[in-house]
Amino acid sequence: MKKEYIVTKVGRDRERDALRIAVLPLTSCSHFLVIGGNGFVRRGTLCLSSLDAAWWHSGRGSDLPLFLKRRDRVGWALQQPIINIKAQAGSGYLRRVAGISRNTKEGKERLAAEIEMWVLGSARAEGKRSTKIGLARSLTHQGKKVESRAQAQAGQPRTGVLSQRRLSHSFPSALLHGQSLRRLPLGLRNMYPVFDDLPVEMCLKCFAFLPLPDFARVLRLSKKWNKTLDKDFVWRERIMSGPSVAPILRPPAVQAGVNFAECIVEPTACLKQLMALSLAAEQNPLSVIGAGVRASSENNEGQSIKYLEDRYRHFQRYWSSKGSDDPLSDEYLIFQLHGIATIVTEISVTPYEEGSELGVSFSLGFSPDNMHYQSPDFKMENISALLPEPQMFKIKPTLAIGGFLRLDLKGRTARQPSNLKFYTALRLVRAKGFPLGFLEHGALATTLVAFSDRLGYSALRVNQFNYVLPTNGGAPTIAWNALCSALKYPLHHASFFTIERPMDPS
Amino acid sequence: MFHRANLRNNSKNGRSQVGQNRNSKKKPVAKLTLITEDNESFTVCKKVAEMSMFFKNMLQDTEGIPAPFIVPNVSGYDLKKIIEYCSYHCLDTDCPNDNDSLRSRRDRKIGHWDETFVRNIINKDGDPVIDNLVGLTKAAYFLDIPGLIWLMTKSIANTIDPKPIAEIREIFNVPVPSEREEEILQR
Repeated sequence: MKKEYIVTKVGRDRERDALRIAVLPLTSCSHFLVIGGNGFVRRGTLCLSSLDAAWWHSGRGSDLPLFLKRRDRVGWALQQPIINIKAQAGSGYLRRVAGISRNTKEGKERLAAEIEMWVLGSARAEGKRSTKIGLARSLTHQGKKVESRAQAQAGQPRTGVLSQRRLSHSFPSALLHGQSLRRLPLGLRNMYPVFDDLPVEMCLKCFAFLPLPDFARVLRLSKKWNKTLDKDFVWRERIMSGPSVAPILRPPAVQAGVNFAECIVEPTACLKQLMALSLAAEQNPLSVIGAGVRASSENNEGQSIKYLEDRYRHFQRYWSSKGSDDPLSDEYLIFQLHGIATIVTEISVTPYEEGSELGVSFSLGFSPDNMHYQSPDFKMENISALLPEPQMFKIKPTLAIGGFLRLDLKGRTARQPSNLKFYTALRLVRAKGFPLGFLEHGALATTLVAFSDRLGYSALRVNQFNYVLPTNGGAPTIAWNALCSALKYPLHHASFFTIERPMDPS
Repeated sequence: MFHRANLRNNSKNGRSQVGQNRNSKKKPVAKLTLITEDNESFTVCKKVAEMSMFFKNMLQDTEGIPAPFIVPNVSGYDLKKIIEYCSYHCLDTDCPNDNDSLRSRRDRKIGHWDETFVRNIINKDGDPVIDNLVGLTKAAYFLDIPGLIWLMTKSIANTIDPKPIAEIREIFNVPVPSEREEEILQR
C-alpha cells in the first residue's frame, strides 16, 4: 500500500551531516521515495527521531555512512526542491500498537482503513503548520480521501484512482474479445486501457509515425507497452527508414559500399546508447577535433592550417589563405576528428581580427571527397574587435562517421592594404561533441568494430588521443570527469594544464 | 485523373453514394448485403466492397455474390464509416499499400477529404475520441483495408505526438505504473 506524505520542512543537519526532512507525523519505519522537482528520486528508509522530524540515511543499516563521505550529495539534494515523499505505508506501527494481524484478509482491510484514518487525522492537525505548497497539497489530498470514504460508507462503489487502477489490472482482456469497446457502459469503458484492445500490429503502425525521442517516451508509458514494443525489429525498421525517423543517424553513411546502418548489431541497445550519448554531447561537449589535414590554400608556411589546432595555438599565429581579387571566392579547410565515429554538436570559429568571411558551412564524412552530412549555411557576424570572440554554430547532435570535418568559408570581406587583395584568415577552429572511439563496451562499440572491420580499418584507437579539455584553474571539470570515467582512467593520474588566452597583440 | 475529376464534380451531391452512383449506370450492378453484429444492414456495390481485402478474397473464393453476409466483429457505426471511406477512395490508384516503406508511409500527407473524415468521426457522438478511432482501426484491420489503416494509425499517432507522458496515459487510460515499475521503465 502506498501513501504520499507532505513535506513541510527540509533542512540540513550539520552535526550528523545528513538531510533532515520534516514530514507529517508518522511513527513507523518504512521504505520511501523522495521525489524532487528536477526528477531527482532517492530510495531509502525513513527513521523518526521525534514526531515531526525524519532522518534520512542510506538505508544500509548504519546511521550516516553515505553522507559523511559524500557531502556534495547532500548539498545537491538540497538544491532540488523536494516535492513529496511517497512511502510504502507504515503498517509496522499499527500492527505492533493496535495488534492487527495482516495475515488475514479482514486484518489487511482494517489495517488499510486504520492507516488512512490515522494519516488523515494527523494531516488535519498539521495542516495549518505546513508551508504554502504543503498546505495546498494536503488540502486536496484530504478532500479526495474524505470524499471517497464518505462514498464507501454510503455503500456506493468507490471511484478513486486506486479502485480504477485495480480494476483495469484485473480486467481480463478475453472478456472483451470480439466486442467493440463502444458497447460497454461509459464508466467501465473509461477504466479499460484502450490500447489493450488494439492488435499489436496496429500499435506498431501507430508508433512508427512518431519521431525517435517520442517513441522512446512512449516506451516508458507502461510495462506492457514496453514489453510489446521494445523489439529489435522495430528499431531496425526505424534505422533503415531514414533520417526523418532517427535524426541522429543521417544516412546514407556509405563508404566503399558499406552502409553504417546495416552494420548496427543490436539496434535497440545501440540506438538507446546513441540517444543517451547525444544528450551527454549536448550537455557536456568535449573537444573532438584532431589535426588539420588540408587547406584550399595557405599564404605561406607561417600561416599554415596547423595553427588552427589547439596545441599550436599562439596569439600571433593564424591561418590565412592566398590573396584573391574576387570577394566571392570560397576557401575550405579539412580536419580529422578523433576516432572514426563522433557525435558533433557544435563548431566554433574564431576569425582573425574583424570577421573576414560572410558565410560558413561544414560537412562530415569519410574522406575529403565523401561527405554524408551537410550542415545548413551559417552567417558570420562581422564585429569589429581587436581580439575577436569565437563564434558558435550549433547543430542537432549528429553522428559523424568516418572522422573528417570539412569547413567551407564562403566569400570574404577583409582586404590587405598593401596589395588590395582579399584574404580569409582564422585564428582557431573547434569542434565539440562526444568522440565514440573510446567506448569500450556496449552495443555501439560492437557496431563500430563491425563497421571498421568491414571497411578494412585496422582497429579502433582507444588511448592514443590527446584530449584538450577546459580546466578550472588546474582543477578537474565535469568534462574531465566524464572523459576519465569513459576511459576507465583514474582521475588523479590525469595531468591537467591550463590553456591561457592569447595575450593582447598590442 | 479522369476519375478523380469526375468525382470532384459529383461531390456536391453527397460523397457517400458516389461509388454506387457511378456503378449503377452500368447495367448489372453486383451488390452485396452486409449485416453487422448489431443487426444493421448495408448494401454496397462490389467495387466498393473490394477495397477490403477481406471481401475481395471472399468474393474471389465464392465466385459469386453470396446471400446477406454477416460481418463479425464490426459494429454498425464502424461499417457505415468504412463504406463512406471506401466509396470515396474506391477509384484511387495510389492508395497507401502494405508494401510501402516506413519512410513513405510517414512522409505521406493526409488529404483534405480524409482530414474532415477523421474530424467527423470525432464529432459524431459524445464518446471519447480515441475510442472511436481505435474501434474503427480495429474494424479496418479486421476487414484489411490498407488505406484506412494508414489513415487511422496516422491520426492516432497525431493525437499522441507532442504530448507529455501523463497526458498520453490519460487519453489511452493506461494505468499509472507503480514506483517500482516506473524505475524499471526509466532505465
